[in-house]
Amino acid sequence: MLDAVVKRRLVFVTGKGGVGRTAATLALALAATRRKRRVLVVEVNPFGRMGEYLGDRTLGPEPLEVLPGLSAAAIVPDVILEGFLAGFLRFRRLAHRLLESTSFRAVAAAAPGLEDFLTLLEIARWERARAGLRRPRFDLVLVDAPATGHSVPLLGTPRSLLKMLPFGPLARSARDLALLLDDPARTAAVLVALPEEMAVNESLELATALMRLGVAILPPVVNAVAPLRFTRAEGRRLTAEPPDLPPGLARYAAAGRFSLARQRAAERQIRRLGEGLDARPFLLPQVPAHPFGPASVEQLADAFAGAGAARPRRRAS
Amino acid sequence: MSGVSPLRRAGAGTAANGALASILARQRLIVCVGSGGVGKTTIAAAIGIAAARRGRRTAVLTIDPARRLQDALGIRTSAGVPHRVTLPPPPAPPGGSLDAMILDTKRTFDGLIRRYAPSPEAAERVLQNRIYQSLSSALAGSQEYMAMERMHELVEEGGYDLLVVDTPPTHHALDFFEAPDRLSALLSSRAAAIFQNPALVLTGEGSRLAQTLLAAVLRGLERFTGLTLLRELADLAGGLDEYSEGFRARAAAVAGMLRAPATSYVLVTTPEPARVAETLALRRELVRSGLPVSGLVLNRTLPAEVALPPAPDVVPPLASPPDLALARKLVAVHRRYVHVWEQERAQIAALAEAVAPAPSVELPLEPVEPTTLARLAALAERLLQP
Repeated sequence: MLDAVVKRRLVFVTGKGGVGRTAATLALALAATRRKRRVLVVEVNPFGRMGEYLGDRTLGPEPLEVLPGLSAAAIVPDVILEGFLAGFLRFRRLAHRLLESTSFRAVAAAAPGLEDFLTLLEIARWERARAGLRRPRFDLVLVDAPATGHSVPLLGTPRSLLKMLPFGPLARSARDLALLLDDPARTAAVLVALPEEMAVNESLELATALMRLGVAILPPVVNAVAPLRFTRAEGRRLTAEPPDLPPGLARYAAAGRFSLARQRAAERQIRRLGEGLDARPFLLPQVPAHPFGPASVEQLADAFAGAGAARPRRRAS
Repeated sequence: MSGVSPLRRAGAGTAANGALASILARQRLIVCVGSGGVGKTTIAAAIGIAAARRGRRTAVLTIDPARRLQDALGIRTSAGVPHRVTLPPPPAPPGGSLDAMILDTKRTFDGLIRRYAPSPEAAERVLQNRIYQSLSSALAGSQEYMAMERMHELVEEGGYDLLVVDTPPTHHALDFFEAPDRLSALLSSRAAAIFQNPALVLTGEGSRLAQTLLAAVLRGLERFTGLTLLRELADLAGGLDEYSEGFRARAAAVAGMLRAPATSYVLVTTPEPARVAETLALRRELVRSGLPVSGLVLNRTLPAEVALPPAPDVVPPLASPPDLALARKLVAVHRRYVHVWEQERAQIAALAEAVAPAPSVELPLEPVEPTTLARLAALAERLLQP
């Protein structure tokens, strides 16, 4: 999983709302820094919680190094719009004045896909950014992309824009973007799901939509998989009538059966996801969610890094 | 109807389920509100089934772009069109039925254009405009606006006793309810005039130099973009200008519907602390804008029986290694459930207190998701049964 990610330059992490995209993005990023990659994570959702997960950092439009080798930035629509207008009008003050006008904001809101387009341009700018002559500033740009409903239009923006504006400088940028997004060697998407039927349904639909857009898809990530598993024999004992439990544990029968039923349902969905995408899903263990902070991210990064990998900060004991 | 229902367990008002039933029996519009991923669509479907079972001619409109209700109700192919749901036995009483449909934003928008167009030719001009074509499905707020429009149409002209809708996941509840206002503001004549002469943006705010400069630069926009984007926008805005009266009247009618006494808002949430905090914020926003909450559905709460207090008696020594392994797992599983249960109870108590006297209903988590009609119907029973 991590191998496939660190080979790319630009990876979009997407999936159904509430499946833990932000957590998975940060964990992948952290795991990649342990492979000596300089990583930038980009938060697209203006109401996102990436800063919180990083230990209450405030993310801004400029990349900020939050951990050794890991930088984070947030897409701020007003800032990229102002930057775009300034480049266009040549006067930042004028751009600023325009942005203050409510009527202009209405006009800008009506320009279909403008914000999405500018978001992608900004992401591509970071992907291209250099530190020095040849070295890229970031080896890997990981995007905490919006949920399914918005990710598909976002990634489809260059193409829809090309349909509307086949010529001119905007069209050139759109074509460059489409080339970047379509290039499986540079760009890919990671789908995050939960081991639940509806989340898996949505992942399968999302995969179809992304493939249609020409975006390469890496093996999916299933988040919040319960680490505890009952074996087959234990399952038989729990479901026997009456349950065949160790002496003194009859009170735990309901808890055991419930957990077993959830485990079986989850395994069914993980299998379905794997078959549907023809790839082996990567399973992320459930970690304590409240509060979800840097320690939780690190636990997930451990999982991505794998058992044999170096774990510099943890496991010292 | 029985007066007091036996409490299955301590906690948020299981006794109040009867009150939810009376909302189903009385109201004309029920709007399910909640954060993303809490099961709004599922609950909307279950409420629809429950109402049909009570003899009401019911429709469920889902706005969910992920089309989850379609899976359960079997309406995968017919976007925008009502689909009669065949309810599992027992049969609904006479008059009781359920139609389900998915919002088709573009189709609803097209319908609105046709309705208010001064002539069929004028309507065609707008419908053929390329900017309109992408705007009608992509414009922020248009989905919400069209949901409102379709709700109004179904309530007024659909011939239903009750319409149940789920709302799209928004960061703020009011993004949804204010969308009509925002869209009509956009379509107002001032915005239209700006499309035609973008320099008007600076009228009254800028120096003459700035205005002249901007006008010149914007005139260059067409050359820059290499296409007649601005002219098409102006055409569209000019075209839509003729509709703004109709749109405004419609927005006012929709606003009236949202505040009508026959309209109820049901909050849907799961008991995780983060969701509960969002739900409390949503409730405050709704109340502040005069949209009172008439019920709370707590979805996917942990069943009480999995979190029984641990046995006080001494556990006898375990003989075999398999017994030991299973015992360790059971104890671990149980300990986790007890922890979750305690956390949930505190959250649920805070929520129930916040929405009181509106009723709260708990729907316990099932090992398997309610993605089939039979399971949805069972959920509907739970909504109504004490």
